[in-house]
Amino acid sequence: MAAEHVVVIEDLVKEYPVRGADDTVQLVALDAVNLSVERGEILGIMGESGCGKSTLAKVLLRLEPPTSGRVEVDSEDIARLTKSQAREYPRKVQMVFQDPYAALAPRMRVGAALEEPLAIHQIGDKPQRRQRVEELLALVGLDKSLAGRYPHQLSGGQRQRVNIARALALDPEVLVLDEPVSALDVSVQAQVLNLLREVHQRLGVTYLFISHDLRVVRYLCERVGVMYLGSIVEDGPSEAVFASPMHPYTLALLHSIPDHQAAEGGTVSFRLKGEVPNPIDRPTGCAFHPRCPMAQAICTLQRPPLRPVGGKRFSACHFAEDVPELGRQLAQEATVS
Amino acid sequence: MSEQTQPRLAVRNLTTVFHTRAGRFVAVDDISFDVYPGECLGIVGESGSGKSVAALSIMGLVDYPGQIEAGRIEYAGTDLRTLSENQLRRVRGEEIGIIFQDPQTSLNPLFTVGTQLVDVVRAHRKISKSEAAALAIEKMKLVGISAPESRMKSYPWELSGGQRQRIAIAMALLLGPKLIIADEPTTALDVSIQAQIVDLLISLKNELDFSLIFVSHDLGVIQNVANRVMVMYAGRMMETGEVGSLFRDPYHPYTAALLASAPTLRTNRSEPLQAIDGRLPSPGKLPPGCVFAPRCQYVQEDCRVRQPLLESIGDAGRRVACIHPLIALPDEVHV
Repeated sequence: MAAEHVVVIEDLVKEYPVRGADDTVQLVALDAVNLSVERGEILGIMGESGCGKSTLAKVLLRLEPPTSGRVEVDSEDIARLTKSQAREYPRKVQMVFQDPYAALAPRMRVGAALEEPLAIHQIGDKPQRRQRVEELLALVGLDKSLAGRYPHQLSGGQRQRVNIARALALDPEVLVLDEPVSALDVSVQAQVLNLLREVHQRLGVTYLFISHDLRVVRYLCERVGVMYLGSIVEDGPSEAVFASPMHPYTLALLHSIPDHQAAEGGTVSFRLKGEVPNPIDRPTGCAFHPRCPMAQAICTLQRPPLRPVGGKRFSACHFAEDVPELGRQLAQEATVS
Repeated sequence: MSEQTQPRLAVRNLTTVFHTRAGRFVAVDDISFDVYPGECLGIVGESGSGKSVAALSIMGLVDYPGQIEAGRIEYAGTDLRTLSENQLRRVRGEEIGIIFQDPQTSLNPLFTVGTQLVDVVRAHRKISKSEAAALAIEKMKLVGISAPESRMKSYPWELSGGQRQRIAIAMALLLGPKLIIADEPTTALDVSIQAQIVDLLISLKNELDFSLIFVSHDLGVIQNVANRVMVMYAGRMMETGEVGSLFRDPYHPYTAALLASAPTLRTNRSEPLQAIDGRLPSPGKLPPGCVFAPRCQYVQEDCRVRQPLLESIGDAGRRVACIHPLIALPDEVHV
């Protein structure tokens, strides 16, 4: 069964040195992340800015080495790859970035941008690569005539399609998507989300979908990991997590989203106080305790591990089992008021 | 909102254009709306819809190459377009306050929060620095800044995004304006902070009784904060009305499509999202007839020829610019 996991992350820590006034301190961007990704699944990673979700993506792409801990892709420790394995690594894991404008070289035609990864990895001869470029364009719903265009001649949605096509050029096992629809307008966002779903159904590639938008994550992802201050605080099937969170942070996030389909008159009554603390000054015990409405003495002292709470679900809260009841109370309050 | 109340702001036939090398672009095309005392008017639209330009036009803040070409902007009976730059400067701040999307750009990084707040007060009122500082501290308390006295000495970059936006709100409130224009004030913030700022603006509006124009691309935020909403597309107003009824029963196909395309916590996960095909027309090349016609799933032949006018339809205050609105009218048979 272990082979079912394409990515296995164990106690992953990533620290960045930050020069302070007197000495250098360590900013802990990833604080013991544990996460396994099944082959072919769509895993959403959600959290607010500074939670470490983009750092996680960088480590997975080998753009940043981990400080400690292990990341395995296809059962190989990505920190200990041989030179030739490292060269081949981009064929396994690819990335789609948030800003479709910045991610494409402005002076490279679309066709050339799509062909480049194939040329670098010496896949096929020129006519075969041309053929592949046409296939890729068709895959993301673009006309093959666009191959001759420059990025500035494309709309934001078209550019993001090109980025997706380029990330798929090498037929990767894992596609890391870092906020791929955040820069797009609502109507275009829907087009790209539908495309991502179609591509997933057709190719079965594993998605790691990073987003701050809970509504988008809920829609696209089968499973979701919620991050707070460098750690996964809740992990489980999307349906279950969104229906009944088992970490107070997830519950609070759900209650913070302005939702235009919310029941009318249903006022939001559960708000997070304060802001995400500076990762240099990580609170003791549970990192979430200063903002948590459920916090008790133990939360300031003992850091709760990410533990199984039934039904393929995990929560890093001492009182995970009490959260669904709080959720029910809040839902009731909302319908009464 | 009783019908007898005088609107605080009445905008009539506002047209704002940009003259560029590539030609003349109409950013805001002949829009009219009112803002009543104590209400929040939401302006919603995608990028390029003209929502921000419409809001900035009210303040006379459209920069070259933009220019208000026509229309009246009546605030308390005065057409703001007839005022001199000096008179307009009085109005800004004292009568109308503005909050921008990114508090980083509205606060100067080189000066402390206190200096900037005091400067704003003293630009308008002949009072001492300490009196101005007292006023600034009072407003900072109002927007929920803890330990405002010590925060006065902070530089903007020492504050978090949420705190900076609170300072920007305090600055807008300093002189007690009766109208606040907020241009995407929560877009740059995290979800949990966004919710705090929306709550704050609603409670301040109720407490201080100012009118609020809230510009956003986020339908959910608009539903939470606004009483009435206007939906803009390619510089034109597509539909306007009470938030509740407009979101429940959109009559304009664009409003309906916009609402259907955004995933919510209730969206059926097993079905594709109802995306709107195509993209916004480029401002230099607006189609004849209805600007939404090329992307509209209900388009008919006359839509491509005749430009629809904003007309009252259905419930009170609802106006729709569509020849074939999504409502069965008694005198019209739909095919």
